[in-house]
This record gives sequence, C-alpha cells and structure tokens, in this order.
Amino acid sequence: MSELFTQAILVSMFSATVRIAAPLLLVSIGELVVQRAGIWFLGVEGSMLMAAFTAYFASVASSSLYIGLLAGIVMGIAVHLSMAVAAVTLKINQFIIGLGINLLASGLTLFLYRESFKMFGGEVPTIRPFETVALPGLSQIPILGEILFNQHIFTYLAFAMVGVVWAFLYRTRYGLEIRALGENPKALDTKGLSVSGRQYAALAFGGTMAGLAGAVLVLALTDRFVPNMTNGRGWLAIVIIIAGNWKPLPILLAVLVFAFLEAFQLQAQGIGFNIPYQLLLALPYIGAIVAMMGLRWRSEQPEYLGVPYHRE
Amino acid sequence: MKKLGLFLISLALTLTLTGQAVKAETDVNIAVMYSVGLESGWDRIVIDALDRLQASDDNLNITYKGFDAVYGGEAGAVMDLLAQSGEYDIILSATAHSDQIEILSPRYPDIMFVSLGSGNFNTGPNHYLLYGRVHEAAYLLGMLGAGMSESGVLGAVGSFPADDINDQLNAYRAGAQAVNSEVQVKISFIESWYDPQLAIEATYAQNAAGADIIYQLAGEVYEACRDKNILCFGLFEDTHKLAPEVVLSGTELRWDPAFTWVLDEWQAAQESGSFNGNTEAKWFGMAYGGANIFPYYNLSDRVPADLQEKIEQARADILSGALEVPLVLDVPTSD
Repeated sequence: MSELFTQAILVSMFSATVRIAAPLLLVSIGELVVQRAGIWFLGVEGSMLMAAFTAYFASVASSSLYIGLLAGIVMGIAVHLSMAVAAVTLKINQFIIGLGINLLASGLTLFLYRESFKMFGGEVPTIRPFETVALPGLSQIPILGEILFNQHIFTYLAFAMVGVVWAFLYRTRYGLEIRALGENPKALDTKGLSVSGRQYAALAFGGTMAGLAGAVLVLALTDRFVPNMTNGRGWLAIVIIIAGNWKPLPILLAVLVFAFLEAFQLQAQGIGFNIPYQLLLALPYIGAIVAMMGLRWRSEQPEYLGVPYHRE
Repeated sequence: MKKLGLFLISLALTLTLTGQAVKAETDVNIAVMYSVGLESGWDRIVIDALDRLQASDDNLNITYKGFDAVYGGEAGAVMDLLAQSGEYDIILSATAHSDQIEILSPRYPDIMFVSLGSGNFNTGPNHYLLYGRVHEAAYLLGMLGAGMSESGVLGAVGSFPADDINDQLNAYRAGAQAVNSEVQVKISFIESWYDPQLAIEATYAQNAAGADIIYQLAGEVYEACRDKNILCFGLFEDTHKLAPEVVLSGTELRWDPAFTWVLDEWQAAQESGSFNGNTEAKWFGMAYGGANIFPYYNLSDRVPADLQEKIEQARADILSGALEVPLVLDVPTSD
C-alpha cells in the first residue's frame, strides 16, 4: 500500500486522472447544454464514435491532424443535427432516435473502417498524435506542474469549458433561455422566442463537444481508430450528467471522481495490490451508481427533458 | 419410350459422375469465421498461414474465404448456411463458437469444424481444437526484457486473463527470473479488447511503478512507450514497423504446423470415412515452427552480445527439448 504514496506513482495517477477526464468532460459538458434545452439525446456514444472514425480517416487521408480534428467536429455536429431534425422538427421519440443513432454508428464505423483498411492497402495506419503542451512557468511547479500543466491543449480546453458553460447558463440571457427550454418551453414560445431554433443551437454545441471528444480520443490520447473504441464513454457522459445533477460544477466533480477511480485501478494493478482487480475495474461504476442514488431526492432534472414540444 | 428411359438413366449417371469429378479429394475449401476482421492481428495471422500453405502444399489444393465476425445465434445461423451450401469442407472459427458448433457438428458430420484459441470445447468427432501457444517465445522475451531492463522491473499489459494470455505472462516472468532472480514483473488487465486509451494509461501506470520494458498484449499500443522512451514487445505478429524506435521484439504465432495437422486429419478422414476430433486443444510450439520471437531489427545494437547469445542458447535448448518452458495457466498478478 505504501508504494502507492511515492511521488512518481501519485504524479502518474493524478496525471492519468486528468487525461482520462478530458474526453469525458468535453462530451458531458456538451450534453449538459443539450439536456438543459430539453433534449434527451442517448445517441451521444454514436456521435463520439462517428467523430472518432472521421477524425482518424481524415487525418490519415490528409496527413494533417488539424483537418482530422475539424472533420471530427463537423461529424459530431452533423450527427447531433440529425437528432435535431428527427426530435425537434419531426418530433419523433427521442429515446428511439438516440438508440438508433448508436446502433447505426457502431455498424457504420465498423463497415467504413473495414473499407478504409482495404483502401490503405491492408495496413493499419497509425498517426502521430498531438503532443502535450507544457504551460510555461506553471509546468515547472513541483508535482502539480506535471499533473495539471503538462497536458494536451484539449485537456485545458475541457476544463476551461466547464467555466464557460457555467457562465453561459447562469450569467447570460441566452443561457437562461436554454434552461427555460428544459423547464417550460411554452414560456419561451409565448414570448415569441423560437424553441426549435434554440434546440438546434444547443444540439449543434453538443455535437461540437462530442465531436471534439471523439477526435481527441484518436488524435491526442491514442494513435489510431479501433472499432467501438469509445467503449461506453458516451453512455458514461449521460450517467455523469445525472450524477452531477445537471449542474456544471458537480458534473466536473463526477468526471474527476470517475477518472480518478479508473486511474487508481490501473495504477493499483500495476503496483500489485492484493485485491481482486475486477473489483477495482467495477469501482468507477459503483461510484457513479452511489452518486446517482444520493442525488435522487433533490434532482435538478429539467421538467421537460425528453418531451417533444407541441404548440397547442 | 424404352430409349428415353435409357437416355435418362445414362444422363443421371453422367451427371453424378461429373459431379463427383468436380470435387477431387485433394480439393479442400475452408470457410474462415473471423474473430474481429482482417484489421485484427489475430485474424491476419490465420490468413497469412493459409496463404503460405496454399503456396507450399503440393498434395492439397487449398482455397478459403473469410466471413465477418459474428457471435451467438447469428454465428450459428451463418455457419449453418455455410454448411448447407455444401461448398465448404472445413469451417474454421478464429474465436469461441463452440456453443454454436455443438448444434451444427452432429447435423453436418461430413464437415470438419475447427476452433482456434481459448473458450472452446470439443463437441463431437468432427470438431477439432487448436491453441496458439506462444509461451515459449514469451519466455525468451522475459529473458530479453530482464537482461535489458535498468530498473529490474518489467511490465505487461493484457486485455483479458484468458488462459492463452496467462500462459504467456507466466512464462514471461519465468524467463525474466531465469536471467535476473530479483526481477519484478508488473501485470495489468484492462478487461477490454477495444480500448487503446486504457491500454496506454495502464502502460503509463506500470512505467510509474518502475517498469522500463513492457509487453503489450492489449493491442498494438505503443504511444506510451514512445512518450516515455521505453522498449516494448508486441504480440502474435510483427509490429516493429508501427513504432520502430521502441518495439524491440514480440511473440510470433505461426499457425502453419497446426493447420498442416488439421489438413492431414481431414485427408485421413476422407480415406477412413470418419473424423477423430480432439478433446484437448492441440498446439505446436517453437520446435514445430509454431512460435518464435521477432528480430530486433534496428534495435539489435542495444541488445548486449552476451544476452543475445544467452537467448539464442535458450532458443536452441527449447528446440532440442533440453529446456521445457512450464505451461502455467493461473491468472498472474504483479510482483
């Protein structure tokens, strides 16, 4: 046990926590805005996966990480906007569309990956991912510098977006309107404000963040696409939003707890803790369930979440 | 009328004889059920071995076709259709399809079913089980790692603790201890086939725990090795070109001797009229050309000459039978 508290191990574990948190935070904070706008989009896993594949394919085909990044974001927006058309304009059941998007993304990315594999001559191309960026000065701080300030640019962005989204939702008129959409869309409609326009915008923002999260997985945190590589992170974002009670700062906390437990179990296995590693692997999920149970009595779930708005 | 009857009988006889002539006993057509697809090294080495046999086998005319990875009832339905088509003599599954083969093998007694890897069980005389054991090669990697490590700590990142992964990890540790009795081996399982980020994080975690040479068994994931500038080993196929600056070697699995044995069994069954499927999975180690380690390529200079000699000696001893690498299937944990 004492081995866990050496400086090298602690730095490694907390750095891993921050890295693991980054894509989760990006996708969760994007979906928070979507859900606050009254849309329950279960297809976020599929959106991330489509973005991850697109980012991979575009970066290999163009030999440019930036084109890959842009393509991933565009794909995230496109998938989210397809949800907007189906849920906001056509008013189809939101759960069904979300699930359908996940199934489609899983099959389609596998198919396209196989096709691209043939196109690349039967080789699995890898990419040279984005390098980490050590922030001048800050990265020199002992221990904390290595953990917090020697990360990818997207990691800094992910954490910054928590503050940005908080300020947007709670300190701007547009943010208030988005929150009102989830609570009482009729109030906005009565004032002559477009419900569907705002829901489209919220989904476009969610798509940007999910696209970024998918692209980051491929272009910064690994070096390739692997079928189904999002591995439940999109689903986890939904759990995190519930565990974070639809508020930005508790969502940040939920992401960090989850990421820490994941980093802890990996580090504990590496050290050789004498407890079953399966228990360690289950810890993050047990943590999420406990958090959800603890928050049920004062839920901030938007009143009209998942309910299509019909003008009477 | 009598003439017409004779004509029809002769036509039927001709068609029957022609039909038999189309399919000679030396023609063997194989349906390969992938575990993932050709993007996976595990499936690619199956096809590579079939290609080599196709080119080298003078007795048999081998043809094959690969089929998408499906599981459960869907796999059963696909294999049923393949068997019904009458086109395939052998249905070779690269993954755990024994639950489905259990239903199909008695229904199609003339078709040979072959299952590769762990998670399978024999379901009848026409079902053959093969293992891709590379634990002897993993033993040599352990020796290489222990001889090269400056920290005296080796790492290994696995996907799932399947017994054809555990055998390698235990042999890796045994090989390492043969060179340095004080060596420590760190072992992690990420419990996923599909998560390169987790595999990378597990590599970072082992590096933080002191490991400076890491055996990657959870995908060809070398980003953390590059980032930390540590040497890594690959699994089953040559992945050196993916990261030439850090991939020192890896275990090589060649299905050739196993497939040759299966094809011999198939031919024998054509003559005797009955199959003789095995209940204990058969494997062909280094002495049969079924396993090896990959060359060090551009990193050869970094491996001390005496260590290279030691490994060559151990390889020779394994080939001659003087050294028997223990086959230990227990789930290993970190030292």
